[in-house]
Amino acid sequence: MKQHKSRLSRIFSAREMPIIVFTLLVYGAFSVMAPNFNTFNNVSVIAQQITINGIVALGMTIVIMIGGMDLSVGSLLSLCGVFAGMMDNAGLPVALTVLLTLVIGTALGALNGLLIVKLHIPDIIVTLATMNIFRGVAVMVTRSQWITDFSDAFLHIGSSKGGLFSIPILLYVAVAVVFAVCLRWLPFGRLLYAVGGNREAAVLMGLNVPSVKIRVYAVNGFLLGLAGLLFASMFGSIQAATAATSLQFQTMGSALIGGANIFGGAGSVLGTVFGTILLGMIKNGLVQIHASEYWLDFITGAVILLALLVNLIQLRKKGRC
Amino acid sequence: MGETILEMQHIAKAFSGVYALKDAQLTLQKGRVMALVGENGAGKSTLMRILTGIYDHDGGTILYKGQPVHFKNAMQARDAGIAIIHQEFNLFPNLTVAENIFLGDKSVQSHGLVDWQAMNRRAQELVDSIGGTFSVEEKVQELSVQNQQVVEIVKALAANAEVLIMDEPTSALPESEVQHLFRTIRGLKARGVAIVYVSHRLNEIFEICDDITVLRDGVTAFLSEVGATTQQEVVAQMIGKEVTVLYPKQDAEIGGVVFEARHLSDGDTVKDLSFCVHKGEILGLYGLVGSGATECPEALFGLVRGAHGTFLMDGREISLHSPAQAVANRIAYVPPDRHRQGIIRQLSIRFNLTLAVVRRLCTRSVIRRKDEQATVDDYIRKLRVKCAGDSQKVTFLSGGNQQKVVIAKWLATNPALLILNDPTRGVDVGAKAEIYSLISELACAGMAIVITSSEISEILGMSDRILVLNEGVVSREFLRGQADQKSLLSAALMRPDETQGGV
Ligand SMILES: Nc1ncnc2c1ncn2[C@@H]1O[C@H](COP(=O)(O)OP(=O)(O)OP(=O)(O)O)[C@@H](O)[C@H]1O
Ligand SMILES: [Mg+2]
Repeated sequence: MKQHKSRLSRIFSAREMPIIVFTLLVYGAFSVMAPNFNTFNNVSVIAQQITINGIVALGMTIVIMIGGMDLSVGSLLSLCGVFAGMMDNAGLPVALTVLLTLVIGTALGALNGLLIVKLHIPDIIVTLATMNIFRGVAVMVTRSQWITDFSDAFLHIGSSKGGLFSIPILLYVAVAVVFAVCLRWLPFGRLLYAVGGNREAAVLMGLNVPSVKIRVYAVNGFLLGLAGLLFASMFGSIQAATAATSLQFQTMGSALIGGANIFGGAGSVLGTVFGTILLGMIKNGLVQIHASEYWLDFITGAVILLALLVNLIQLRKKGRC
Repeated sequence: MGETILEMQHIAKAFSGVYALKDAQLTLQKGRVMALVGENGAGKSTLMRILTGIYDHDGGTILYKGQPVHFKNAMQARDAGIAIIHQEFNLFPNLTVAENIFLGDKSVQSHGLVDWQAMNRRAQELVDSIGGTFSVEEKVQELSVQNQQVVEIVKALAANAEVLIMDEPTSALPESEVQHLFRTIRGLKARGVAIVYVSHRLNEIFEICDDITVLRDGVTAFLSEVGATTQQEVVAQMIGKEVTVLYPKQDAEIGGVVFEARHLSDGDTVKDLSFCVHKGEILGLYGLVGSGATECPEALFGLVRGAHGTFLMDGREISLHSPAQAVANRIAYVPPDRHRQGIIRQLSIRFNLTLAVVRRLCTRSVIRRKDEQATVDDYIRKLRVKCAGDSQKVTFLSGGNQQKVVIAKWLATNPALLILNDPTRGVDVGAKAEIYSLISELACAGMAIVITSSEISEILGMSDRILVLNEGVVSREFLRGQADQKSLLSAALMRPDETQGGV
C-alpha cells in the first residue's frame, strides 16, 4: 500500500508532469473552441504532422543534454532528403536508398562532432558553419530545382495510410521508445547525463568525453537522415533551399519545453515528446479556430514562454533555483 | 611492517616549465595508513594525480605490486585497484547519489543495462555504513556540502580498492563527523587496504595514520613512523621553520555594537537567532551539522531566499535580502564552498582578487592599473599565495592557495563586518597562522568579525566570545577563556531547553 502511494506521488512529482498537464489543458481549450479539433481524424493528422519535428527534437535533446547545440539540423535534413530523392530518381531500390541516406546522415552528423572535438571550436560555431555548408551543398547539387516524381515504394514510406498506425508515426514511436530505454537503462545513456552535468568530473573519471560527443552527434545525424527520408516521401517533393529552414529553433523549443537544460545535464524523452506535441497542437489548433496568420508566431512564442514558466515553478518548488 | 604494495620513486613533474614535483617518493604498505603532508602547493595533489593516471609524469617510476605501471586515466587505475577521493568535489550534481557512486561500474549492470534496484540497494548500504543519513535516490545537488563529501568517500569505497587515496577527505566535514570516517578507515586497514591520507589537520594525522611522508617544494623531505615523531617536528619539516603560536590572537579593544541581528530565521535550520557583534570583536559560532552554525552566515549575507529578521548596522536598520545589499552595507563574506561561491576559476588571480573592490580602484570607470597592482601584490605577499604570477588562472593553483585568494578578495573590501564561514578549509598550518594574525590585526583596527569553523580549536583560539548553536537557536554563550574543547562539544550536543540559565 505504502509502496503504491509512493509510486503515485512519484509520478505526480515527475519533472515532466507540468508540461503534460499544460499540454492537456491546451488540448482542452482548443477542443472547446474548435468543434473539429477533438476528433479522431484530426488527432491522427496532428500525429502525422509532428513526426519529423519529433524525431529531430529527440536528437536535439541528447545534443543539448551533453551541453552541445546543433544549428545545422534543418540543413542536414534538407541535404539527406535531397540525396534520398535523387537516388530514388536514379532508380535505386528503395532499401538501398534508405540505407545510403542513413549512412550519409550519420557520417555528416559525426563530422559535426569531429570538428567540434578536434578543432576545439564551440558547438554553436561549428554547426553555424555546417548549417550553411550542408544547405549550400544541397542547393548546389540540385541547382535549386525541386526534386519530385518519386517511385511508389519511396512514397509509401511517408504515406499517412493506416491513420495512427502509419509508417511515420510508428517510426517516431519506435525512436522515442528506444531513446527512453537507452537514456534510462543503458550505461552509455547515463554517461550523457554525466558529461553534461559536470564535464570536468567526467574527464577526471577517465571517460572519453570527445568520443561520447562524436557518437552523440552521429546518432543525431542518423535521425536527420531518417527525418530527411520522411520529409521527401511525405511531401512527395523537396527543394533544397526551402526545406525545414527553421527546424533548429522548433526542435530546440520542444526540447527546452520538455525540461532539457540549455547548459547540459538534463533532458527527457517524455518531456521532449510532449514539447513536440504541444507545439504541433498549437499550430494545428490555431488554423482550426481560424486565427489570423499574423497571430501565429506571437501565440506560439507566448505559449513557449508559458510552458517554460510552468517548468520553472516546479523547479522552484524543489528549491533548485 | 606490512607488505609493500606501491612505490613511487624520483617522481618529477613540471607544468609549462614550472616544477611542481622534483624528486618525490612514496612507499605504501598493505594495511597501513600513510600521511602525506606539506604546505599548500607542495605537490601532494599533483603526486596523487600522477599515481592515478590523470597527469603524466616527466620522470621517475611507479611500481605497483612489484610491476612498473603507467595508467592512462583514472578508470584504468580504478580497475587496477587504485581509487582516489579528490581534494575538490567531482560529483555530477544532476545525477542521484547512487549513480554518482556507481557510474560506469559493471557490477551494477545486468545484460548490459543498469540495474537500478541493485544499484540503489548497494549504494544505500555503503552510505549507511559510514553514517550517512540521506537517501541515495536524492540528487547530489540537493545535498549539503558535508553530505557531498560523504558521497565522495563512498564513491571511492565502492571501488573495492587495494590502494585508497584520500586527498583532504575531511576538509568539508566538521570534526564531530570525522569519527565515522575513521571507523571506516580502520575497517579498511584490517582488510589490508593501503591508504594515503592527505590532510592539513595534524590532529587527525596523529590519530589515524601509521607513517608520514612530508613533501616540501616537490621533494620528499622527511619520512617517519607517526609514533616516532611529534607535531612540532612535522610542521618544522613542512615549512622549514617552527611555528610556535598557531592562533596569534591579540587582545583588541572591544567597542560598541556594530551589527545586530534580531530573530533571524531562514525558514529551515536557523530558527530564532538574536545576537550582536561589537567593534573589534571576533565572535565565534559553533555547532554540529544542522545546528545552523554554517547556515546563519549564509542567511546574513542574503544568500538564503526567504530568510528574515531585523538587522541593525551601527544602530540603523538595514535589509539583507541579497548579497548586493549586504555588500552595500559593508558586509563581506568568505564562503566555505569556494568553487560554487568563492572564485571564478577560469580567470586570473588578479581579476579574482580585485573583483569585489574594482569600483574603488576606478577613476571614471577606468581601472587605475597601478593601484590594482599594488593591492594584488600586497595580498599575494601577505597571505603567501604560491603562484607563478598574478596572471595565473586560479584553476591551476593548489587547493589551499585558491582559498587564500578567496579570503584576500574579501579582505580587500575593508568591510565593517567580516563574516568568515569556515575560512581556512584546506589551508596549511603555516599559512593558517598568517591568516589568523591578519584577522586579528583587522579586529584590532576595529573591524567586527564573525567566524565559524569546522575545527573547534580554531574557534577556541580566535574568538573573543563564542555562541554555541543548537537546533537553530543559541544554546550557550562563552567568553574567551571560559570554554575548552570538551565544554564546547557538550554544549553543542545539549538540547537548548536543557541549558536554561547557562551564562
Ligand atoms: N594543471 C596545473 N597547471 C599548472 N600548474 C599546476 C597545475 N596543477 C598544479 N599546479 C601547480 O603545482 C603546484 C603543486 O600543486 P598541488 O595541487 O599538487 O599542491 P598541494 O600540495 O596539493 O597543495 P594544497 O595543500 O593547497 O592542496 C602548485 O604550485 C600549483 O600551482
Ligand atoms: Mg592539494
